[in-house]
Amino acid sequence: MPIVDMSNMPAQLAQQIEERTGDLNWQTQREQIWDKHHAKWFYFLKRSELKALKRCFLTGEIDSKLVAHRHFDVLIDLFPIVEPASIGYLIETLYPILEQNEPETSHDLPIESYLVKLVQWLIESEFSSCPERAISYLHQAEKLSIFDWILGENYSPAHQIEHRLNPEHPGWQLDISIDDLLLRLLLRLMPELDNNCDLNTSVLWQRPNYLASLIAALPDSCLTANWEKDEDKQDKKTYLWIALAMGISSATASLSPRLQALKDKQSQLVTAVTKIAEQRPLLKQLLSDLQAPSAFFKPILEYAEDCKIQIGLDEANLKIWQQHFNKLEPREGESRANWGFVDLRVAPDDPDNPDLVFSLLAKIAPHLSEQWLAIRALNIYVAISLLQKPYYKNYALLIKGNTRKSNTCNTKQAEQALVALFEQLPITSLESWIHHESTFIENRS
Amino acid sequence: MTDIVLLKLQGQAEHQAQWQAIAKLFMANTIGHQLQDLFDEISPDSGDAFEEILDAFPDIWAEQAEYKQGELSVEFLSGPDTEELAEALEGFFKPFPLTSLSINQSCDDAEYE
Repeated sequence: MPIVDMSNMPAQLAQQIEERTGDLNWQTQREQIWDKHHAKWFYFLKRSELKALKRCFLTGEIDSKLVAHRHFDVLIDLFPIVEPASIGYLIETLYPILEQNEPETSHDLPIESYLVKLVQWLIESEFSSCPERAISYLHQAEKLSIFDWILGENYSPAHQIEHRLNPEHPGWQLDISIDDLLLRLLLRLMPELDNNCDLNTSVLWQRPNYLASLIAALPDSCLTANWEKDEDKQDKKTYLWIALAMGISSATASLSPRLQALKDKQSQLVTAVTKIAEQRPLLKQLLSDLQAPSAFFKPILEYAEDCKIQIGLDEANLKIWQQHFNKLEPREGESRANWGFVDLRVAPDDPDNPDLVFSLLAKIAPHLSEQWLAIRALNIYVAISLLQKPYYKNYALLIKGNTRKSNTCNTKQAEQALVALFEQLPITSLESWIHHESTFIENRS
Repeated sequence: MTDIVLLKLQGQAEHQAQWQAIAKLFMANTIGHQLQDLFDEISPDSGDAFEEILDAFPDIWAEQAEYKQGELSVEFLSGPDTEELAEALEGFFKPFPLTSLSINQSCDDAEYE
């Protein structure tokens, strides 16, 4: 039985839905997206539920059998119109039914938790195209309108959200946990570097003032440079340091337009934080310390710089590389199938870890084998990741080179040597850069 | 003490691929529309009949499942509805083209002794 359909929704929303669902191109596209992504993603649903969910996706009609906590966020996401007005309407209409049907779960999952989840999905959708989330397909302006509606212009611990279709409705008060939100946001800043991040669709980098206001609201203990014994606390500090001092550079040539744009956005964030820091002496001090990242990171960290080379391959060459590197198993805890991401470590002189780059070169470019042996002599730690569709926009290999403190080779040399080798191979694109890497930050003490 | 319904069945040779796929879904506890589609391939309209079981036992849980030498065996945790679940499964699987079918109830209390 439909709880939401064209006959009972507000006229403004009904008209929008009618316009959208009446568009044959939209319908065809929507059907294709469903068949390609959603039909597989909702493997846990019964047949009748899957049919009802598809109906919601294509027409906006919501069947009563779908009104359960395990479907609630999905309903908002799959509704043909996803914008502040429609989200407010769905919450107002459906949540009381949820509370009635599942009172215990409603206590654990209040309305606010779904709103925060939507923001989380928006942010996730910008570092990887999550095919299972319809919110991923929204245009940047649409995503920003949801981000602004839920979080506001500046961070506030108790943000009031208006119900746009019902001015008499009191709206909702979102109690935002700064720790939780900060970690979620900052965690997403770094992966932007690796994944063909398109700043034209990004949400997070368009709102430097919001991020700055969030950083400025942090307690003093988060703004000091000392190492925290508590892992969670230190994680937040590490991500904060990296967000404020990514140190994107290249020793080979100028940065690619994508990385240059990202670097500019990061500068905007630092500028926004600098303005606010006038009222927070500790934050001002932190920013000042991070102006000299080497001096800041080195006493605390074992190694904090990483060079990365991202290469594109055509389908034929990708197949060769994939078959070659598939001889190695992913590291423990990483799954090929789930993440489309395989981290293959090439550790020189390790009998349990054969040098697969050397054997690949022997096959496809034997004249470069000697050059690779020279790189190995530099004792660079090289990891190769395969970035696969659909989680990444293009097939690409990410080559990470770390230099250890004891090495005679520095990161710039590592980048130059690796680029000089890989640019001679049959590749379709190459990006290389150096930046501060949170993954390899470790306490020295 | 945990109540269990143990299903064992042997399908016909022509449906081995489907029973194998069904075992995999039970192993992953993916008890939904994919399972219903596979049941339909073996016995038309059985997918809809299986939904009635899912409606009646929304917390159905396959604790173990395997497919060996043409035999599918699934161990369902049944909670307080052991008898009802066993009856429902028997009624569901009986019309299938099978060479053998057994549904037993047991009580796995080893770890509680």
